[in-house]
Amino acid sequence: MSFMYDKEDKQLEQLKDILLNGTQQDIDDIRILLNNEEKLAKKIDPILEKHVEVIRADFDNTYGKEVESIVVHTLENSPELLLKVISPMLGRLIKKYIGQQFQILRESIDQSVKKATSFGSIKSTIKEKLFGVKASDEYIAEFDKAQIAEVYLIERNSGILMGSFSRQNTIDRDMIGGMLTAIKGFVEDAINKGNESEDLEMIEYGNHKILIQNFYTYYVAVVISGTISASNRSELSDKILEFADKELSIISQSEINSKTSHISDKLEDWFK
Amino acid sequence: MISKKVILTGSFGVGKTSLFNKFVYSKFSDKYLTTIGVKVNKKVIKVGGEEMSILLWDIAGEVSQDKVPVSYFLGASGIIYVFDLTRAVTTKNMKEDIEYLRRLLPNGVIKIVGNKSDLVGQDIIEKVIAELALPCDLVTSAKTGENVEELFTIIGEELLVA
Ligand SMILES: Nc1nc2c(ncn2[C@@H]2O[C@H](COP(=O)(O)OP(=O)(O)OP(=O)(O)O)[C@@H](O)[C@H]2O)c(=O)[nH]1
Ligand SMILES: [Mg+2]
Repeated sequence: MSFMYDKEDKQLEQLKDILLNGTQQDIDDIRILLNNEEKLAKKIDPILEKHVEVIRADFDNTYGKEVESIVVHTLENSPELLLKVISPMLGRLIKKYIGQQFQILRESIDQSVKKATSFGSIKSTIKEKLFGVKASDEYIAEFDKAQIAEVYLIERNSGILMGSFSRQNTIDRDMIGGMLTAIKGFVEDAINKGNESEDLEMIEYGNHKILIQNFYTYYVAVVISGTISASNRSELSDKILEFADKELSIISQSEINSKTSHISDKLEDWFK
Repeated sequence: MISKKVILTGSFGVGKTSLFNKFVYSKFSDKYLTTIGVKVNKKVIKVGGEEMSILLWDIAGEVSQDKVPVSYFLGASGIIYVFDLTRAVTTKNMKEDIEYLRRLLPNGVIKIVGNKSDLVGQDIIEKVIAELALPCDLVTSAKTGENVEELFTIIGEELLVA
């Protein structure tokens, strides 16, 4: 989607400019803006609409071929069906693009706030002073809130599921554990042949990410929907480490195999 | 419930996917769709009055097993090495393959299986088996279902005591 960046919206540029280089007055203005949903919507809606327009306008060029093949098969049958097929695709594209933009913006803000102070505690106080109770990045994150959709604890070699937590009813979880391990093994083993061993750490598809944290005999895979910032990501990573330390180091391997449901409950407690 | 990883491996076109599909879905097709990479599925079986969850890995066939990504084998408790009773070439690397798998999985239960028994007569089956470098554990047909359930029951029972 790099062609979008070239036409990056002027307004978005300005907003970034103010956020990154602004004076106290500017920042106060932004705080007011951010805390006022109506005003914020006024600013952001046109940007979003414009991006939607850009995607629409360029749709033919970029996605013409794929659409053509869908059209051939479905147009004969019913035009309504065609609409049904295309609109989720369009929706996903737009959602992903906007998600990316927000992530970039968020991380810039994170950085500039970090630059302003070197202590974590001071940072949060200043953040609160500047932006009210809600820190700016949290505010923006709300547009596309990252949510943990599923968590899997999987034995590293065999791919056998040791425990899992999921918000929705997915297909057989044992199978997911096996296939994830197979994909992971394939990437690490077949593609990476001859090189130093490196672990697969993330799989990305559409608006979802699977973050993988490897331990010696098992690994944790977290399925996330929405946009996750670098700092949220490292927080999650810390949480997984803490979980492993507190819940998994005290039970033996054989216990792990027989206590799948117990571990699943713990996963839910920690990651819900 | 205990879970065990069991792999189906061997040369290409010998009927690994067909055995997998017969076992998991009770289905057979004459079409040959070669497996790319690996496919994983699960079936719960009953052995010795206990339930056991078999996580079955259907691995893409390779002429020799050292071509398969090692990670597909690791952690497997059961190994089903399949050859094709109608194609002698699929037994050519059996000895080296089994030695290789044995080294990777010293405690694994290995079964050597001759598939497509429905296509050949008893006399041919006996002749093929007599010429093998290693003893054949079972003769199966993914098409008729001969010995398919039995294969997994035998493995399940051995894994239970292993
Ligand atoms: N008659 C008969 N045909 C079989 C049997 N098992 C497999 N076949 C046929 O043999 C062909 C290959 O079967 P697959 O199960 O795809 O073989 P595979 O070992 O998975 O092959 P790869 O994935 O390429 O390694 C297909 O056309 C199957 O229909 C059998 O027991 N009897
Ligand atoms: Mg196959």
